[in-house]
Amino acid sequence: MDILLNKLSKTTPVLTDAEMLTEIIMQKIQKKTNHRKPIALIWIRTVTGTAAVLLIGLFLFQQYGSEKTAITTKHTSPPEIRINIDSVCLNNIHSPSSGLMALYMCHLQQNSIKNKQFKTIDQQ
Amino acid sequence: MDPSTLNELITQSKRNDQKAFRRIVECYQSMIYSLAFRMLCNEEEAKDTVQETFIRVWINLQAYNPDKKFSTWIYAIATNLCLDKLKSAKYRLKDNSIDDTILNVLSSENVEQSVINTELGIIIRKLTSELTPKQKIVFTLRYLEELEIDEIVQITGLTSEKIKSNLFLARQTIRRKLEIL
Repeated sequence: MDILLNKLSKTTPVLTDAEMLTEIIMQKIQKKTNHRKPIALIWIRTVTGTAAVLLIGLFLFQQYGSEKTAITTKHTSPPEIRINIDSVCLNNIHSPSSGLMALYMCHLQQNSIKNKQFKTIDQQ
Repeated sequence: MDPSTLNELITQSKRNDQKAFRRIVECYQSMIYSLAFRMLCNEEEAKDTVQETFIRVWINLQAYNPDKKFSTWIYAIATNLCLDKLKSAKYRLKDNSIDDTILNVLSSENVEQSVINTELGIIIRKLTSELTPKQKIVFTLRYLEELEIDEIVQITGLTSEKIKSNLFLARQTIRRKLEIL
């Protein structure tokens, strides 16, 4: 057995068309190199992709959150609070520190109250 | 090839220098072909393995650790490819018919060498046909490629005890086969 193994190890299989094989390997490597994407591009793609996903997540979270708060304010604003707001507005109308928009809103509210009062007088 | 030239070629190849890599291919392809042929016992399969090995070497060259022997690293890649082929059902079912062998010999430019290769393939195939893929790998590396156990440990990733037990079983199987002949 050892003699046979020794003979087999001494008989080396010879590559007959070595040059052709080298050529084929180099052609395949050339193709691989052409298809190889630059590492920077892969990194940019990963980072922008992650950022996009995070932004979409944040947008959805905000949307869902604002909807929830809108619903809760609708349910938790009884008419008594509105009256309170109106009274605050009426008080604010005389103070110079309040903003123009707030003043205008109060003015509108005042008008609507007066209109209601006129209507009730008319009906009477 | 002396180690300094080889290191220089590897460094150049890492910078996508294909001319340098070509020299590495020219230097090592016969060695890889010999290993693949002894394991697979088929010229075409061996040539395919050589191609796949060098493509993998090119792709993974950045991961090569210069502290390790280059031939051991390249041997490990080729051995893994051979092991995959030996394990695949397609390879086990494939049996070289006489027609295929004759065609291979006739299509070769060097008929004499092709006949020697074919005969060598038939003998190795007959001897190792009953070995498991792992036993065949270890047996080929130790007795046909004449590598040291330490190097086989690095190539296969097996422990020296496992290698020795696989070698023992392989020798037993082959001895039994020779007794029958």
